[in-house]
Amino acid sequence: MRRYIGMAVLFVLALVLQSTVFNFLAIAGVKPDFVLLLVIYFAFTNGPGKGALMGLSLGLLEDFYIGRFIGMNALALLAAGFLAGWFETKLYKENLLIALLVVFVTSAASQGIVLFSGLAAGLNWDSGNGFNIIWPLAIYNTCLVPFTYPLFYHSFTRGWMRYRPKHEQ
Amino acid sequence: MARKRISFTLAAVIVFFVILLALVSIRFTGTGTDFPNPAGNLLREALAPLQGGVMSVTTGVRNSLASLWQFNQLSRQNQSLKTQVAELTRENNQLKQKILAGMRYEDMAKKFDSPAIWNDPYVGATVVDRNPSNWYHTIVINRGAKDGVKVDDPVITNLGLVGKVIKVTDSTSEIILILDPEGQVSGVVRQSNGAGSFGIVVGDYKRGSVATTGSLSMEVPKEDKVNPGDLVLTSGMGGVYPKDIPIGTVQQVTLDPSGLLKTATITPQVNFANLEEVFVVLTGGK
Repeated sequence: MRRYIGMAVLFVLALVLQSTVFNFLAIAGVKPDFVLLLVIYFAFTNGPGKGALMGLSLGLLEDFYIGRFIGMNALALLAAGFLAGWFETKLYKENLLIALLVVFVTSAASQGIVLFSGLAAGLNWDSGNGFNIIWPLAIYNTCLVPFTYPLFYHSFTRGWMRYRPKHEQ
Repeated sequence: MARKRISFTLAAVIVFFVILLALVSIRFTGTGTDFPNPAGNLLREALAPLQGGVMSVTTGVRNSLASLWQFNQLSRQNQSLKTQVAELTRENNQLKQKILAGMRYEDMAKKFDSPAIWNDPYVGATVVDRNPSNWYHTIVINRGAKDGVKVDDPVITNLGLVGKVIKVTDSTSEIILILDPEGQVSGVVRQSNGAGSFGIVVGDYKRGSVATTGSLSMEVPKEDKVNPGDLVLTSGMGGVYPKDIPIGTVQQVTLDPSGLLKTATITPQVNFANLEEVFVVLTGGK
């Protein structure tokens, strides 16, 4: 339960930061996507099922918050959660290099889904410009991993947000 | 094995429908569409104050940091802005002066009534200089031979007589004021019985330590009925000044020591201390 409260708080924090502070941290016109990072971290420690569900709910909330194209981020974050969760079952989580790789691949894939869904839904987007967002965003998110992943990993495995069986609560 | 295949098919179907649902949803909630979004609105309302606070703090921090990083640039910018301010101030002052001059010219359009003089062509002029010597009451205006100004042309304002041109260059003219002892004018006062009382209007202005002092005065025969408040006009005699240009009003009348004449002290119509714009009447030196 604590995990979900923690995720909710972090999600709100991420939304606020995303719409305020991160505007000033934009590099090459792209700001880091902290909600995406949050979903990836969660899924990477909790598996594909929970990861996908978490991605779907946070994505939907983000969509509602943004207020248009409902489902775009939901789909993208669902995929990101599932993908990162799938990596969880295959890869060694404690290694920072692997986390970097997972974040890069998952970020790029999820933003690719945003682009795809936008184009598939018939929006007037330029796909070339879309790739100019995807790669910098994936790189930017990856650059944030060394500062954030250890904290999350510790919290998710041994700290405040770790999984507690029912009998422990 | 069978169970796994079914689950794969199911998964594929679910994925397909999820994507389909998402695409349909995206399509129908695009920019400009108005759909009920209570969850989003609630979220926005709740986050707005928080965002406001974070935003102002961030902007503050960013601006302070930026000012440190960009010190050289800001200093340069400051310098150039200062220059620009100076430039704009100068321009603004010029425009103000032009507006004020325009207003004064407009004022001058309300002229005194004299058919004799306004029938002649005239040019407006600005006073650019006053005589540096202490002995003469003259001014210099920015109109000269190029504008048709000739020696002996009368110079007036909307209120009355100023003086006459005594020297002309290409683009300037020197004018002797009626205040100068040399700038004598043949004047006339209408007596109470309607007859004219003629005399020479003479200035006895002297430069005081602080301001120019003195008065215009005119001597008239003792028996003439001249009273304070009477208007003194040019008589038209002597050939320089046309008839009926206001000179001033009689301020007081005193008896001459000889007992034959009365001296009328005259307050000029024109405020010579603040003289800035005048008209030169182009009589062609006639």
